[in-house]
Order: sequence, then C-alpha cells, then structure tokens
Amino acid sequence: MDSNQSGLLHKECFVTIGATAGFEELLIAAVSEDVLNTLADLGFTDLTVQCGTMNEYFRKIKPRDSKGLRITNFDFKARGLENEMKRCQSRNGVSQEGLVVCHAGAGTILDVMRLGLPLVVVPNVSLLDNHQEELAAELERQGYVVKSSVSGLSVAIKAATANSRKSWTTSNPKNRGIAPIVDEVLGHKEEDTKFRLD
Amino acid sequence: MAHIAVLQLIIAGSLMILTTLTLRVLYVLRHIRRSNVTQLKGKPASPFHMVIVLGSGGHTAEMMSLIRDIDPKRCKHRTYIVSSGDNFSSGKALEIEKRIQSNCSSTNTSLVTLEGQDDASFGMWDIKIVPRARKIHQSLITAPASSLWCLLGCLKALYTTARDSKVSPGEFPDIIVTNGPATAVIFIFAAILLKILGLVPVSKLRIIYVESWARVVTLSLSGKILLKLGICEKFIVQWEVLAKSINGSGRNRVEWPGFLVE
Repeated sequence: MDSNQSGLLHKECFVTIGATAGFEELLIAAVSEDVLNTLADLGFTDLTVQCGTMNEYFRKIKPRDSKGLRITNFDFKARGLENEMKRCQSRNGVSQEGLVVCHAGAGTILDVMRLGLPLVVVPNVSLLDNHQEELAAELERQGYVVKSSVSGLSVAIKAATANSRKSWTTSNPKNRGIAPIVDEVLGHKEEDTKFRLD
Repeated sequence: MAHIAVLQLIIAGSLMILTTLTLRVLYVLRHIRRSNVTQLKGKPASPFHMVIVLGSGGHTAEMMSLIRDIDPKRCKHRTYIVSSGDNFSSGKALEIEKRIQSNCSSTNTSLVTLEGQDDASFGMWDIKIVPRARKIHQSLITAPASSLWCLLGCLKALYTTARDSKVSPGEFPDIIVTNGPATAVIFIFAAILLKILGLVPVSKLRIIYVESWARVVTLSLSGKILLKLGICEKFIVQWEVLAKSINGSGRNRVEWPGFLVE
C-alpha cells in the first residue's frame, strides 16, 4: 500500500549485519532519523533489516515515525540472503535499483557485488579482526563499493546511489578459479618425468 | 664400559638419522621450490586425483567458487576433507559437486552423482573426515594434543584416500588444494611428513595454497606458517597489495593471478 501511495516503483534498501556477531551501532544508524530521511528523499519505499541475534533488540529501537518507509526485520534465513538482495535489483515495471548496506564480511560483500548492486560496507570496528576493515578500504579504493563508518551512513548512502561503480563480474575476464593453476602444477609433473628420462 | 658403548652407539645412530633426515628435508624442499619456477609446457591430458581441504563456513564458500571450473572428466576423483562435526561443509561438498558436474552436462543440470558413486563421465567424489585441529578461539599453540590427534587423523585420511583412489588404486593423490583453515595446515604437515619419510613420491601430493580473498594486507595465520616453511608448490594471493608487500623487489615467493573468486 505504502509503495504505491505516490505512484513510485518499489525501491528497497537491505541492511545486513551478518549471522555471527551482533552489530548494535549499525542497527541504530540504519533507523536513525538522518538515514530514514535520506532514504525517503532518494525515493526508497522499503527498508529491510537482517538482525541476526539482535532481532529482539531491533524491535525495541524501531522508530514509530518511519518517514513513509516500510520497515521490516528478520533474524536469519536458512537459505541465505540471495532473495533479499535480489529484491534490491531493478526490474522493469516492478522495482528501481535499490541498495545494500552490509557489515564487512567477505562472503556477503561478494554476494552483493555479484548481483551488481550499489553497496555500502560498514566494518564493525568493535571486532578486533581488522582485516575486514582493510578489505573494505581496498574495495573502495578500487571503486567497487563505498566504505562508511556508522556515523557517516547517510552520506555514504547518497554517494553509493549517485556514483557509478566498477563492475565486479567483469573485473577479471580470465578468471577461471584455480583450474588453470592446477593444470600448471600438473604440467610440471610431466616435465619432471621427461627431465629424468633424459 | 658397556654403558658407554651403548651410549656411543646411540649417539652415532642419532647422528646418522639426523643427517639423513636433514638431507631428505633439503631434497624435498628443493623439489618443491624447483617446481615453483619451472615453466609450464603443454596441457596434461591424463586423469588426476585432487584433494580439497574444506574448513569453516567462509573458507568453504570461497572454495566452492575457486574450484568451479575444474573439469570432472579429467579430475576423475575429488576427495573432500572435512573436520568432524562440520555438517555445513559436508553439505557444501555436494553443492560444489553439483556446480562442477553441471559445467559439463548440457542436460539435467540438477542431477548429481552420489558420494562414492563411480560415474563414467563425472568420475567419483568422496568425503574423508578428520578430527578437528582446534575449536573456535583455541590457538594452534595451546592445542598440541588436539593438533597431534588431528595429524594422526590426517595421515590415516591420506592412506585411505590413496587406497580408494579411482585414478590409480593405492597411489596417493596428485594435488592438494586449500585456502587456509587450521585443519589444512595439519593436513599439509601430514603430506610433507610422508614425503620426507619417503613414503610418498615427491611428484605426488603437490600443494596449492590460495590465500582467502578476505586477506588484503596481511596473510592469515595458516598462510604465514605455510609460506615461512616453503612447503607449497603454489602459493597464491588474490590482492596485488599483498603480493607486492610479500615479494618486495626480490624473488617471487607468492603469485598474484588476480581475483580467483567470482
């Protein structure tokens, strides 16, 4: 009902904090007045939040005034988050291209980039594991994603939806995984045999 | 007097064993390094047996992407190593197989051969379970007992894998692929141990290590240990920044072929 109010197409922002660690600050930021206003201004109709172990907590902080956005939340999806992410894709006559905001988990980032969606990565600085931060920083430097702190989320959302981004799926056209490397290593074996026969 | 003679014998014996062992270690390591720099010549067509060491969630998901283009017609036997209690990875092995097999079947992409089933076109795949190297948050150093138990489990897994080989029964696998879970380090130790003891030819159990895509600036603990020891035929990193910081201007200790995950 809400989505058709102003005759707009479905436009969804999906926020995911991952399955293992809680990320309270990102949940708070995602429904802050600042972010909700920004999303509403950009024509978003839906905000879906994956809360993991903090689903109960999110229910408590969910604001009464949602700035016209339909806010939904859930804890986990056993089959993964592909369906939620795909709802953010643009489909002719159904939806406009949305946005994904995620913690800096490598698997989640890859899933989003494979779908070609705009992505804001918010590393969880309370985790001691700082290599996630490094991953997000390098991906931003190369133009695949926008990295953000919790406090800068609304600015990052504007940047991610406005700027063009580098396409992940075409980043390495020769990419065939390790298949060619296996061939190469096996190739040595044949050469070694020849070497010995000589 | 008898005491001293026995002692002398023990010392002499130990020295001999130590010398032999050192020479053997040097020989094995030299072989691994030499194959690092040899250039490839032609595509080998013979069937081969590959071991894939799976780990926790993230590692396993990434491995699925890494081996997506392996041709099951040539890689006739795929053995997946899974830690005990890791049902997620056992399930993923089937998913990986679905992906690999669908690559080369034009029809019925949903069909997949069962574990242990010998198929004319897709060869065979199986799972070997090894004891957990460490529990979450338990470090490799504080867990010598569980590591030793894991090592024994890995040695056993290598022998049963060789025994069950569909490529050539009794022969050890050609390739081991891993992307760095703790179990993989122990599994590779087991493989190297067998090579040093001369129980496995140096041309078998060649190790390909691919550092996780998530590691941009520093190696993981597994990666650091394996690179330091120089026991992998191929050591791959997926980020140029990381490759440059390790290789510097000197010799190529790691290779950077670009992104391998998709």
